[in-house]
This record gives sequence, structure tokens and C-alpha cells, in this order.
Amino acid sequence: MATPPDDGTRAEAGAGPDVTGGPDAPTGPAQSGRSGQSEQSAHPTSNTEYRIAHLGERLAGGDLAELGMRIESRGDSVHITGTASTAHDREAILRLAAEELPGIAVRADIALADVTAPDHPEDLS
Amino acid sequence: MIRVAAVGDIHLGPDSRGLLRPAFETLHRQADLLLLAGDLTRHGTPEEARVVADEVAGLPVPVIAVLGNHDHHAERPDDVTDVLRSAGVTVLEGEGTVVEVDGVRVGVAGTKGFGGGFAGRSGSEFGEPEMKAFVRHTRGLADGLRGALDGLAADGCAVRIALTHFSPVPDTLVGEPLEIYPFLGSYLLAEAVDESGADLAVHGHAHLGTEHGITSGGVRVRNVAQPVIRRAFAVYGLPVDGSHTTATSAA
Repeated sequence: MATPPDDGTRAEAGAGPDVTGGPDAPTGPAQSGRSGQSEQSAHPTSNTEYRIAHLGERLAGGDLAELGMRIESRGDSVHITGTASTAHDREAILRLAAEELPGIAVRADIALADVTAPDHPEDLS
Repeated sequence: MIRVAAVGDIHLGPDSRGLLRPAFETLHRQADLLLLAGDLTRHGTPEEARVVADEVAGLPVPVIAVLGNHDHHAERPDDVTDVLRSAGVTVLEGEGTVVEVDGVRVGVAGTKGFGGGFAGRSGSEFGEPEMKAFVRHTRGLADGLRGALDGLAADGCAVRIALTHFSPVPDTLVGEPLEIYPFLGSYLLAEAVDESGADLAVHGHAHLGTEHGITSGGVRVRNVAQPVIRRAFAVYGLPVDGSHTTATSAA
């Protein structure tokens, strides 16, 4: 079934206190990697730049194999843009973002892939 | 006019089974062949390749594909290729294939391609073995593309198309961060296309890029990554008089 195009969504991730990002915060059990969608970062850090990088690695290395999202710091928030294959994938991306960036507002413009046929060709003559 | 449908980066997995099939079933009304520009799966497993195979099996137009980096992730590209071929897909790597459309020989030369960057801003075969291997991999694949395009010319193809996953030009990467261009394509691919000549170069890989570009030799380039074209596929109409075939070396 065709998935209709979508203009994206916005989400606030981690409205509560930052429970994993501070240097004194409990880190929980050691993690061996970032391949699972429910895993927290192996090396929690308060540095937003590195947390963004960790999110990118988790999106690439996990079940999503998602390398097409642009994740950038915008003031006090993080902006995620790109196109997800399905609504399920978009939800998974936002869930991972909330896990990796607790306490940081995440604004996402993630469109859904349009799987409809084109209505006209491009003539290259 | 040859009508070429193309899409890349569909990244299918078990949860996306059937997503593209309804659109593909309209292909016979608007295209003569379908090109798949790599990253057909998410992790490159045979199971994911089966989803792709089912999506295109039995279509009324020839389906020609190259693999992408995602299709190599599980390090089973041969298995992925076998699954696709079992569904009738022609999978190319350093080779060409010819399709007859109303008596016109249409040739498609394909390679995954690889990165390295673009003229004046590219890596070199220098230094660590890993760096040399990186650039040599691209060069080898570009040489395969050049040989395949030359073979199609010798085979009398009136229309020739270069199909890659990585980009031959920076034009179609606009929208991507400049810092990652070297991981998105290589000028070596464009050089091969321009030296051998082609009517169109089609690639994927750059989800945030731009659809339209052109090589320095004048061959039109289209980035058909699905997030870029925002459709199940794009369709390009190519003239059959050969007037748009460009070969720098023959000029």
C-alpha cells in the first residue's frame, strides 16, 4: 500500500531532567556497542556535539541502517531532517533520538518516502 | 524516444514488503526499462534481497540493477546478486547489458562505484595501505565502467546509459554537507563516462542531494535516490538519434 507523503513531524525529546548526560549521572551497565535500538550510548557525555555523533552511529549501526538523516545542533536544540522509508522507521528514529539526547529538545522534519508513480517523464531531448 | 525509469536507495526490508509494487505495476504504461541504482536493501542480507526480488519479479519491463554500499554491509553481495537474478533482474558490476526497445539497441553499463572525491578535492593512492586500497577500489570500478561503456559502443548501441550507486559528479550532491562529498562519489566515474561517452548517467546514494547534474564532458547526470526524486521512480525520455552521445576522446 502506498504511503502518502508527509510534511514531517516535530517532537520534544527528553522533557524531563537529563538522567544520563551529566558527568556524575549513573551510566548503568556497560554497553558493548550501539547496534541495538534500545541501547543507550556506550559512553554517555554531556557534550552535545559528541551525543549527536553517537546518535548518527546508532542510526547507522542498528536495525534501521539509517545513514540519510542530517542531525545538527540548532541553538539549544537538535534538528533532524531527512526522509524515512516508513512511519515505523520515523518513530524508531525519534525514539533513538530521545534515548541518545535526553534533556535536549529535538525538532524533527522527517518526511516519509513517496512511493507513488510519477505523473510525467522528463524529456532529455 | 527511449523511456528510462530509475530509482535508487529504496532500502527494502521485511517491513516494507509490497511498498513499491503498486507503482512498479504501472511501469509498462510509462517506461521501457527500469534501472535500480543500488542500496536496494538495508543490510545486504539475502532475506532483504528476497523482498526486493518479489517487488520487481514478473514486471513487463527489463529490470537492471547495480548494488550499493548497503547491499554490501552483510558482506554477502554474491548472495544478494543471486537472489535478484533469480527474479530476472540483471545485476551489473563492471559490465554492460543490451535491451532492445522497438528495434533500438539500448545499452546499460553498471558499477557500484565508490568514493574518493572530485577533481581538485580528491584522495590519492598515497600513504597507508588502507588509503591506497580506498582509491584503488574506486579506480578499478571506474575502469570497469569505462570498459563496459566501450563494449556497448562496439556492440552498436544507439543509446548508452551509465548506472552507478556512487555519484560521478558533485552537482547532484548539492544539499549534502560538503565535508562528506569524498564519501559520496568520485570524479573517476565521470572521467570514465566522458571518455567512453554516454547519453545519461544515473546514480543514487546521496539522499539529501539534487536530481540534476552534468559531467564536465556534457553528459547529463540524474540522482535518483528515492528521497531526492520523491516518487517510486523517475522517468527520463532519451532521443534515439544518438545526437546526445558525448565522447570526449572522440571529439
